[in-house]
Amino acid sequence: MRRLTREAKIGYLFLLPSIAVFLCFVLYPFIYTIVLSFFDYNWFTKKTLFNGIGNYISLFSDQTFWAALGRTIFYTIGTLAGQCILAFGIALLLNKEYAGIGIIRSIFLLPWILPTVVTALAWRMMLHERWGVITYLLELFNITDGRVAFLADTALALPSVMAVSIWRGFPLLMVSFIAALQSVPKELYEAAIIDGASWFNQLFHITLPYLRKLIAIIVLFRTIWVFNDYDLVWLMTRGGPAFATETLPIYVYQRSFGAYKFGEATSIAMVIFFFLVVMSGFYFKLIEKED
Amino acid sequence: MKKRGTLVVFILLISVLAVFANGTNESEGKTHLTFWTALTTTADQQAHQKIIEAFQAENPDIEVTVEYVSHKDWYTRMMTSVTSGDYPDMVLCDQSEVAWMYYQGMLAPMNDVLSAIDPTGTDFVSGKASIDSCRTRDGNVWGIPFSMNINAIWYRADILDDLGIDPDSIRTWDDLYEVCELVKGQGYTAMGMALAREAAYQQLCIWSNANGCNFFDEENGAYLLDIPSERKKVEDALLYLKKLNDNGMMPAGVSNWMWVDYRTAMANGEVVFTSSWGGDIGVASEVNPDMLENLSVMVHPVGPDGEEYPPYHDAGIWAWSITAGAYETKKEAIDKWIEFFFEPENISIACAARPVYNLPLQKSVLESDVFYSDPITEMFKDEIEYLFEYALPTARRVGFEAGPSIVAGQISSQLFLSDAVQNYLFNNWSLEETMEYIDSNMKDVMEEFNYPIDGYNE
Repeated sequence: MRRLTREAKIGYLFLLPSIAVFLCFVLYPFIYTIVLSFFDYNWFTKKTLFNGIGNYISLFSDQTFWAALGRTIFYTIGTLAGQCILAFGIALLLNKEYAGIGIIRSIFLLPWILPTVVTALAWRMMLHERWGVITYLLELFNITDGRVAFLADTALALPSVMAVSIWRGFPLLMVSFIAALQSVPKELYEAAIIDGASWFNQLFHITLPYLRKLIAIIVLFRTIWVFNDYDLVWLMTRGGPAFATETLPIYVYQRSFGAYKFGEATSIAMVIFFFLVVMSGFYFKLIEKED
Repeated sequence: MKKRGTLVVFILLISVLAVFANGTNESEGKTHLTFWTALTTTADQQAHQKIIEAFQAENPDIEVTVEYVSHKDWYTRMMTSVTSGDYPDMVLCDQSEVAWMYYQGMLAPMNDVLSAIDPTGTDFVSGKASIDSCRTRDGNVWGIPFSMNINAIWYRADILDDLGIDPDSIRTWDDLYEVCELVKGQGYTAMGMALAREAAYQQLCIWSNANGCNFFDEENGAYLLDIPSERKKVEDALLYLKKLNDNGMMPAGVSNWMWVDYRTAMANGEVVFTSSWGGDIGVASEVNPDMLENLSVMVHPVGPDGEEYPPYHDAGIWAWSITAGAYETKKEAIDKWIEFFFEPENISIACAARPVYNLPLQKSVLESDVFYSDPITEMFKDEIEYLFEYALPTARRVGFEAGPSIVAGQISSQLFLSDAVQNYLFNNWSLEETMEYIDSNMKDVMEEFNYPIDGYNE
C-alpha cells in the first residue's frame, strides 16, 4: 500500500472541514429525511411508527397534494416564461455600448440584489387593495372600476405572486443573456445585414439559434430554483387565500410545522427532490452536449 | 514558533470572550429572567418596559428581559425552541398557546403563585373566560390570566344614530343583516373582521358560538359536531358569513385581513361594524382619536338556532405561564416577578396598553382607581361595564368548553379550520364539502392526539 506523502496528508487535512460540513449539514439531513419519509412521525406527540411506503401511497390520493403540485408547475412555468421573455427583451436593449450602459445595467440588477423580505413586503404594500399604489393608479386612470384585491382574490393571488417573482428573478437571466449575446460573432450579423435580413430575421435565424442551448441550460437551472421558491410566496401570502398560492414547498411547511406530520412532509419533500433530480439530469445532459 | 504562540493567544482570547459572553450577569450575581410574549405593539412594549424597570428598581438582583414573538410565528418559534431546549423562563400568551405548551410538557403548575396573588380564591372573576381556561381537570393551574378580551360587535354609534337605528334593536342575525343592508345603501362598508389564513377559524367559532353552538361538551369535553343539531349551527354560521361576504357587506380583500386591518378600518371610518375584541379602541386612539367618541359595542346578535340572548361569546385571555425547567432553578425570582406584575398598578399599566381590549380579571383591579386612571379606559367605562354584565357570563373559547384540552391548542396552531372557512367563503367549496373537511380534520386531530372523542369518563 502506497503511503501518503506529507503534502498529501496536509491536503486531506484541509479537506476535512468541508467534508465535516458536508456530512453534518447535507448528507446527514438528507439521509434523515429519506428515513423519516418511511415513518409516521408526529413532532408534537413524538409518535414514531414505521409506515413503509404508506406516506407515499396516501400522498397520491391526497387531493391537496395534487392541487399544490399543479399550482407549483403553473407557478414555475409562468414565472420562468415571464422571466425569460423580460430578461431576453431587456438584454437585447442593453446589449449595446453607449455612455452610461454600465449604470443602466446595474439599475436593472436592483430587483435581484434586494433581500427577498424587502421585495415581498414592498410588493405586498403596493398590491394592497386599500393603501397600495398599484390599485390606486388603476382606479385613478379608470382601468378598473374599484380597488383590486390582488393578493386577496383567489383568482389573482398566484398570478400576482408570479409577477413579483418575475420581477425579482429576471435580472439574473438578463445578465446571462447579455453575456451570451456578446458571444455571438458579429460577422454573422454583418453578413445578414448585407443579405438584407431584417431585425426579426436576425433575431430568429442568428441570435436565438445561437443561444438555444445556453437558454435551455439557464432555463433548466432556473426551473430547479423557481420550483423550490418558498420565501417569496410565504412572505407575500402564506399560501392563501383559500390555498390559492399553496405551492409544494409551502405545503411541505404546513404539513411539518403546521400539522407536525414530519413523516408526511418529508415524503412530499422526497417527491420534490425526485422531480428536481430528473430536471438536473436533463440539465447535466445538456451541459455535456454543450461541452 | 511565533505562529504557534499567536495561535495559543488567539484560542485563549476566544475562550475568555466565550466565558464573558455567557456570564456577565451571573458574574454580577444577578438572576436573569426571560419571557416571550405575543403582545407586540409599541404600547405593549412600553408598558412592559415600565413594569420591568419598576420591578428591577425594587429587585436589583433580578434582571428581566422580554422577547416579542408575533402570534403568527409563535408555534414555529416554540417548536424550534423545544427541539433545541432553549426556551424562555416564562411566557405571556393566550390560552390556546398555554394549552399547546402544557400538552408539550413545557409548563410548571402555578397553583402556589396563584394562591399568593389571590389568597382567598375570590379575587378573579368566575366563568370560563378566567382561571378555568388554564385549569386542567386535575386542578392544576398552568397559566394565570392578567387580562381577557371579549369578542362582540363594535359599531359606529354616530352612523346608526344618523340612520335612526337603535343598537339594542339588533338582537338577531337577521336584524344585523338588515342594518348592514341599510348602511351599505348609504355607501358604507358594513362589516369588518379578520378572515386571513391565520385568523379565519376564530370567526367560525365566534359565529357558531353566537348561534348557540359548542364544539365540545361543557362537562365532559365530548365532541359535539356529530350531533346533527349542533352541526347545523356551524353550517348556519358559515352560511351567514358567506351571505355577508357575497352580498358585499364585507370589504374587498377581507380574505387577507388580519386583526390590525379591521381595527384600522374601524379607526379610519371605513367600516360600520366589526366582529372584534375591542382592539379597535387602541388603534383608534393612535391613528384617529377623533373616532373614539363614535365607537360603541353591543353583544353578539343571536343566530337562528340560538336559544338564549345574549348568546355565547368568544373570549381570549392573556396569561402568564412558567416553563418547567426554569421553575426548578429560578422559582423565587419568578414568583417575585409574577406577583409584582399582578399588583393593581402594574395590571392597569399593562391593560392600558390596549385599552378596552385588555380587561382585567381581578376584582381588586376593576374596583381600584388606578384601572380607570387611563383616560381612554375611563372614556369607555360604560362599554366595559356593559361587556362584563352582558357578554362575560357567556364568554368561552372553542376547545376550552371543559377546560384546556390538547385540541384547543391545535385549533389555534393548525390551519384546517381557517382553510375550511376561506375555501367556503372565497373558493366555492360547497357547504357539505366544507363541513366534511372540518369534521374529518377535527377527528384526525383528536385521533392523532388521543383526545377522548366521547368525552372524559371520570
